[in-house]
Amino acid sequence: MTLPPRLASVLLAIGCVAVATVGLRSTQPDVDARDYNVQIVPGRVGQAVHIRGGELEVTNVRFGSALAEYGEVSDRTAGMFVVLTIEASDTGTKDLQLTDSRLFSHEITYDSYGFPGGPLVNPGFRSTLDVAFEVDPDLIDDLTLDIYQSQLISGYAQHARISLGITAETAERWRASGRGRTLEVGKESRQGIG
Amino acid sequence: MTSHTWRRLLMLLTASSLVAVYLVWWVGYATAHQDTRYRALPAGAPATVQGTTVRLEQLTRTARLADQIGDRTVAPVPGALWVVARLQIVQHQPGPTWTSSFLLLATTGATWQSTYPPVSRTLGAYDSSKPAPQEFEQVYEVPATMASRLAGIAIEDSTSPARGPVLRPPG
Repeated sequence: MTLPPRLASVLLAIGCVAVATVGLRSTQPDVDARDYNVQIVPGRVGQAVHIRGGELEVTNVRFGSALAEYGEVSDRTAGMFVVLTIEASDTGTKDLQLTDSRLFSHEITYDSYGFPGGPLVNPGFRSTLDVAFEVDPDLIDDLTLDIYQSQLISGYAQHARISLGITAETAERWRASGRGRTLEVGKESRQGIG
Repeated sequence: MTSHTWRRLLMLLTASSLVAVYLVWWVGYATAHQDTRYRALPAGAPATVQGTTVRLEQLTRTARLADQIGDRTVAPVPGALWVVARLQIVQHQPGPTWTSSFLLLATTGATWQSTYPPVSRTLGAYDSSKPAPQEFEQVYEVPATMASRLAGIAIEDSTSPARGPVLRPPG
């Protein structure tokens, strides 16, 4: 039995699409759903990474059980707060906007506590700000900051992925450092890049 | 091959060429229009956008912004300076809806939005309810390293795909 030429063409086209899809998927075997169509810029605490025409660095990691602004306690948690000090320099010609962030610990995702979740820096300036997260104290090993700019339409977004360097062995030490501690946050500073 | 087969091949080649030409044109157009484009005007020349004519009268750099009602002065953040643009709306078209913004433009292509001045100033910001002619002031905080690389005040008109005019102070 022979297939009509038109039906054979349609089947061939479907076959090509299927092969292309399998090929695309097989070249990204370990891609997490949250990393789809994303360029990851990896880094660690104390190391500047280049992203979106600027530089970003997590300069400090603090754990605590309360947040304070201008010396007054503003929030308390039964869990734990992680406050990251983020420094961003805009060395390009457009605003460096990385105002969305979250923390990963294996399969758990923590959204930033309050707004903004990251810096918005004008060309030629450096900005330093604190970003807070509320986390489960039992799930802090391998905490990783994911910071980016969400866009309505994005082709291939860049995300900085900064490992906080907390391992299963050191997690208890980090937890202990935050028990009963109040963290001062909220003073953003700016300066021109010299 | 038969003439029928040649004709089909020619059709395929023509269609492929047209698609290729369209893709090349579209990529070129999209790349050229990805960033906002500007055109510099002669020194002191006014620009007309959306039926409204604007002129840059003065562009001043200063390390301290003076309070024009009190007697204090305010410094910018470290490593920065103030730039004060004094502009004049020369003429309004009757009933215009002004949707443009005035950006400080550097020769590098960097732009800065105006900032709310931390002191009292005699001239306020642009007020669309006031009649023309109207003088107003825009205050910018920019990195000190850019002081010698300021191109002028760019008018960004979101309603037009044309290059935004760049006002330059009178020579």
